[in-house]
Amino acid sequence: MDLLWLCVLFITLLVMRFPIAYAMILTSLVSLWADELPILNLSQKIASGVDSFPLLAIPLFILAGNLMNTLGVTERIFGLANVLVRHISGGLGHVNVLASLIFAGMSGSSIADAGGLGAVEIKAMNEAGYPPAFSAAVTAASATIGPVVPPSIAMVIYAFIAQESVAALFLAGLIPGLLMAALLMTIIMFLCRSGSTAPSMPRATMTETRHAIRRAVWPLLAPIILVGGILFGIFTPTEAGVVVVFYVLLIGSTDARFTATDLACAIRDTARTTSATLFIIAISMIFGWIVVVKDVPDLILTFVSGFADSQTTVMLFIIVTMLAIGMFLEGIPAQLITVPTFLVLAAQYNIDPIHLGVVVVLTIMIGSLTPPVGLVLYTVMATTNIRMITLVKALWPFYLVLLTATLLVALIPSIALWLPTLVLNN
Amino acid sequence: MNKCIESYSSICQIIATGLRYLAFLTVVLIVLSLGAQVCFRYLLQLPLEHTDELAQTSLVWLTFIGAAALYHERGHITVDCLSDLFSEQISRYLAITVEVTIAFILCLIIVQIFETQSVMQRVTYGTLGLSKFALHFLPLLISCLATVLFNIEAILFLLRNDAIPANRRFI
Repeated sequence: MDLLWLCVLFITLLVMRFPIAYAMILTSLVSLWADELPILNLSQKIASGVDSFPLLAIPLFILAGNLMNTLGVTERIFGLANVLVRHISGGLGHVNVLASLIFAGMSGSSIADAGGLGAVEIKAMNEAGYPPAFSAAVTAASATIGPVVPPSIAMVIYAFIAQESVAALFLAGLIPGLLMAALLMTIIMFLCRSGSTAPSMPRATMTETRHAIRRAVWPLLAPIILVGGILFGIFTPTEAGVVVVFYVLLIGSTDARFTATDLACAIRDTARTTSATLFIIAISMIFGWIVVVKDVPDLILTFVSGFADSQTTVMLFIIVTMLAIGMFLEGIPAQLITVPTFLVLAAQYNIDPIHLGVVVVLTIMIGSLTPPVGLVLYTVMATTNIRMITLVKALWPFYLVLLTATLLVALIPSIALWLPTLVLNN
Repeated sequence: MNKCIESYSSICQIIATGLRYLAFLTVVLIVLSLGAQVCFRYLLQLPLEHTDELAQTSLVWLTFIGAAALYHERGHITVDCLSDLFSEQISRYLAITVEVTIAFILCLIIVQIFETQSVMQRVTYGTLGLSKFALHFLPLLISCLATVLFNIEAILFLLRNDAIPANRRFI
């Protein structure tokens, strides 16, 4: 069956409000029938689609994020970021970015950041007198750091598709994540220069700082334990997830407010989010198989060869394609559909798959902020009750900053590759 | 007729609650088995044998059982930004079409699973000694059967001109 018709069918099913996973199954089924391929593949490929050890990291990192939000660890992180940078021009905007960066070191999900830590950040910024749209925009933009800095669910999924090392991808995301944070803080400082957007905040006293550090020192050790444990081979990236879960439980259980209900809530939300994510991954196995049977990677390669003569052009093509797809599809299905094809392009043009992975995750994160389909955008809208158009207007400078970060990482491979090369080659 | 639909809906609610508890338990099992694996290997120098597979099997069960429970609460990811394009009447017809189509696809998968059941029951997989059917196909089968029941519930609601109850609590 013609590829174009399959695309039209898939889009039509999405418009009809088919859940994405079922739209994928139906498109695959029609393709199997049309090409007279064995339909038995459907149940076999779906059933064994998620039987993979690296994928176990997904529920664990989701649970770690949920536990941090329900057990009050998030407030401790915010408290520390608050005393450290609130006095700089841009005040709580910087606190927001720094808190998200620390949170990102323990959780791999932008949704956990936007929905949990984001609520704390937005409340504090609104109470301090920041315009609600600005608070929401900073929160949404800073939440995208989560899946870039290790640990990262998006990186685990990329590693699963590309059959690459999760540890190398985690390391490759570290510097780009720091770059994103630095660029976001720069634009916040620039936007708040007039002082009308950002009320000035007093420098924290020594007592305040000491108290905040004492409360946050244990959460701060988590990223060090996590990355250190993976690098020194003490545990695998998947096992790192369970270490973080127990570590967060240990920190959270010292809080007087800790209850068994909180724990049950976190597990319940984890079950919900994980099954929604992994069901799409299971279904995508059949979808991905059909993409290969249809020679889509070769078709794209032929198309790109027509105009691309360098890695730069191919990277720009990948970024533009991912941004366009990211506007209409959620990150995971977007990755599952496109990455197999991009890997063929990468192999042809000598692009390192780890470098490609970081660029793909960065563009997916921009996609999560762009309408009409952007999960981070929706999460922040739900937290703030701000209309989409207002939030998107406030987000414009941040889109440019995130795009700049993506282009820098895409065009200068060493930003992503220096650390994994240095650490893993030694 | 209305009483029948309400009774059927209650049965679906009970099934969905059971699936949610099962999904909850699989998350606990994943955390405990991997936690035990790390503890026993590094703290007690006593590697455990089956924890990897137990966690992986739990993940497969979580995926499919959770997906069915998620279907009951309309929790699967959809692209709903274009839903305002259609009138209420058209939206209802589209929703019925979606439910019927999904039920049809799932019935097809159920038939396929039954066709391969005897073969898959003979194939043992991994060190746990369980059959491939129990590890992979049984959770998919349960998920498909439950989702078809939820499809029928949704179709009954839509035919009665009622909205499908949305955002039901996961547990």
